[in-house]
Amino acid sequence: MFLKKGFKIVVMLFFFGVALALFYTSLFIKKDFEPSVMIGKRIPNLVSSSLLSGQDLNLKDMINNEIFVVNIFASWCAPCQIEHPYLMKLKENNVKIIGVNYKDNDKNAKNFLKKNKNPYNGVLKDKNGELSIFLGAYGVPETFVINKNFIIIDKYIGPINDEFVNKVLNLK
Amino acid sequence: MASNFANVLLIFSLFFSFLSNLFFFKKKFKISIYFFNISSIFILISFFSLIYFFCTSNFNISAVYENSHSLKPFFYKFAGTWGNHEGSLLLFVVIVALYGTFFSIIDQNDINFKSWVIFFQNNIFLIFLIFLITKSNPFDMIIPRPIEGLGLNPILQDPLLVIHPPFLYLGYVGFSLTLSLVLAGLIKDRLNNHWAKICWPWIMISWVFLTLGIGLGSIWAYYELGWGGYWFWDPVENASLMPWLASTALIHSLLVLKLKNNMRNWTALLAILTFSFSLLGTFLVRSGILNSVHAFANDPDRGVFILLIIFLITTSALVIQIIYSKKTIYYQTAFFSKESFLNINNLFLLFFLFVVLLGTIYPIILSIFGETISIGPDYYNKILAPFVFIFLVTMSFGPILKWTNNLGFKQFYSFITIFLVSLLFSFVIVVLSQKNDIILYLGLASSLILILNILFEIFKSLKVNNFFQYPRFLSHLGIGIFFLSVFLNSYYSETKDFEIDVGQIKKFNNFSINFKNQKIHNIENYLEMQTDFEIIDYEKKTFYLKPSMRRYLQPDQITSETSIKPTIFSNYYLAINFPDLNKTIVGARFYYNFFIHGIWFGLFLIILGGVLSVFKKRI
Repeated sequence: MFLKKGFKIVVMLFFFGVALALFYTSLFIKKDFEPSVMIGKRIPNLVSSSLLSGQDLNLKDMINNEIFVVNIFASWCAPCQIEHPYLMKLKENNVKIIGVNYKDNDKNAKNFLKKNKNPYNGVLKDKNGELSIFLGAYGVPETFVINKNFIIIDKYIGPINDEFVNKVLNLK
Repeated sequence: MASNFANVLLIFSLFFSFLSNLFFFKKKFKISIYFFNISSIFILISFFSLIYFFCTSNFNISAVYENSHSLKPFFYKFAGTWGNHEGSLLLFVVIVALYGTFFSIIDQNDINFKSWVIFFQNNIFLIFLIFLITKSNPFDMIIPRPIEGLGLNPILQDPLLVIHPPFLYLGYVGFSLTLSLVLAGLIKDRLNNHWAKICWPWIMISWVFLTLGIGLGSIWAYYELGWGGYWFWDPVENASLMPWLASTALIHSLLVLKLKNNMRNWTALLAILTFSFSLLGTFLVRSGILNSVHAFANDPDRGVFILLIIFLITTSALVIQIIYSKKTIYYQTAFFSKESFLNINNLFLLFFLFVVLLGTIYPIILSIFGETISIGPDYYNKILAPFVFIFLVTMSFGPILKWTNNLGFKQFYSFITIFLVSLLFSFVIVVLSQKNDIILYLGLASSLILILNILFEIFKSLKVNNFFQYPRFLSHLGIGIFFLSVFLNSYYSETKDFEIDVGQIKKFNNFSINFKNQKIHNIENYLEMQTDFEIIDYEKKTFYLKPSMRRYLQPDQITSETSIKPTIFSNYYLAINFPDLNKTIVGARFYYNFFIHGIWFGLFLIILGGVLSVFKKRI
């Protein structure tokens, strides 16, 4: 009787041990493309004042029948620093990037772009996060790939990397 | 200073919790319970002080600095207390303590059994309290004091969202008491019908709160998030659905234990599973393993701790269950008996649970091997739909059976009549609406079978003035109406995204949308754009929808108001977004949501049935 119970306990512990190990490992895995309710939908025409000029900026006026990227960033967000070189790489390859400056202080954001160079074709201010909510964003940084017809085709949560850059360049 | 005071409260709480354990081992049961209650008072005061710090914007406290702002409306300052990782964990611990304390006050059982329950509750409390103090202390201090806070995520600034998490927690955490009751019952060899009666109201209270929490989240997604739907099979939504499925199975097996003194081990196992899934839900949401609206902090270190806590609690509970489980004496039951149909109900619910679990964690597991997949609604709908049909039919059939024995013929005839009428009626609906789809047909038929059967039962009970079964009538009727509405909604709704200029008419399917008018008012510190849309629906009825949006200049922000026209059977829902203020063209999103009220009404009945069953006279 006791042996049988002991066997049950061993099997149970083994099973939960494996589950523990799997969850533990996946906690430290970098997150990749995530499904989003906005994928496949038309991007709303984002309008806000420009971070740099202060004038009204209109997303659709900046884009001319091409694939482009919308990147949500903030000067206070450490992962945004990490992804910055990859945004520059996209810019060097003539991919238009529209920045959405999420809940940031204007001065800090301008300094951030001065210090790290500016990869953006335009930066929309998103003082209270409303633009980002409309994009269905979960946080910063977050990057959307939008096709010629203004349909969101992909979204990336967290800092982008080489793989992402290549994926976008292949789409061009 | 403030931080020190609050930390002292936490330490006191920890100290008395240890004392409670100490006196328990010395078999001084009354004192042990007494110290547990003192410990809960301290944790409660510390929670109130956190609320106070949030309301008074005390930015010396890091949780306040990171999640609040002095200019926030008072209501959101208050709610900010649990709108962050540390505060929500404190709320979690407070609720564990409160369930224990209320049980110790209300329960009239012998002190020995009661103190075992409190002992387990105290240890669940202790584990989380240690985690709180060492790894996510809400009272960490910042010196010097920052002038201003960072603000609360605006997506969380919604009245519904303020009450949605506490309700979910009252549900999740309530199952900790169920677990304590089960472990005490196992060790003291009390898992019998008397024990089931003690458990019943506590489990039902947690279940009602959990259902309410899920429902509020769903309503929020529909009305506020502007996604136009009510359920997205988002991993975080699934995280709350899993304990709901497990606890619903638990309620039904507890019924057998309560009335027939059977299914003892199975009930214990389900109770352990229910709390484990509640913890798993907390882990999925709080650890940053998923990226979502709900994930506050991406801090894997904390995730590791929560993971270890789940492992510790689940495995030790299962070890106790294995050691103290007893061979049940099975008695012979007929296949067409209440018992076997309650068993079938349990199997179905566990199958649904398994499907949801797999869909939720499979992408996580796969990510370890460098693969990424996303599991969408298609997976759940396709796998679950056929089983939901059978489930609904067994739900209408099971309760009219007798305990242990085969059913009499009289009920069988009424069931068959309702069965055939429902099949015919659904067939007529499907043919008349020209939606020839087998899933829709079976969905309508199976939910109608359930609804009509319950209505028939209610009719019969009215004749004999027997109100004993009303909780079940209401909940099951709610389930029937819920699924009927879900099927109708998913097959008869329409949605369209488009851009439209003043004077333009967009036509699609049976609707015509005419953008009549646009006015821009310049009011103090904002510009308001009001629009008039004339909608002509499929019956050629005309009505107006007037969505509007405001653009605040200082601070620069845009808010939009959707316009919803409810009719008896549906909602017309129009939202506009981000027009270019120099042009008249706007982006619009139009939904025709058929039978959406039925979904809310079904939920309401399910919850009402649960509430009634808490108060149902114990038999």
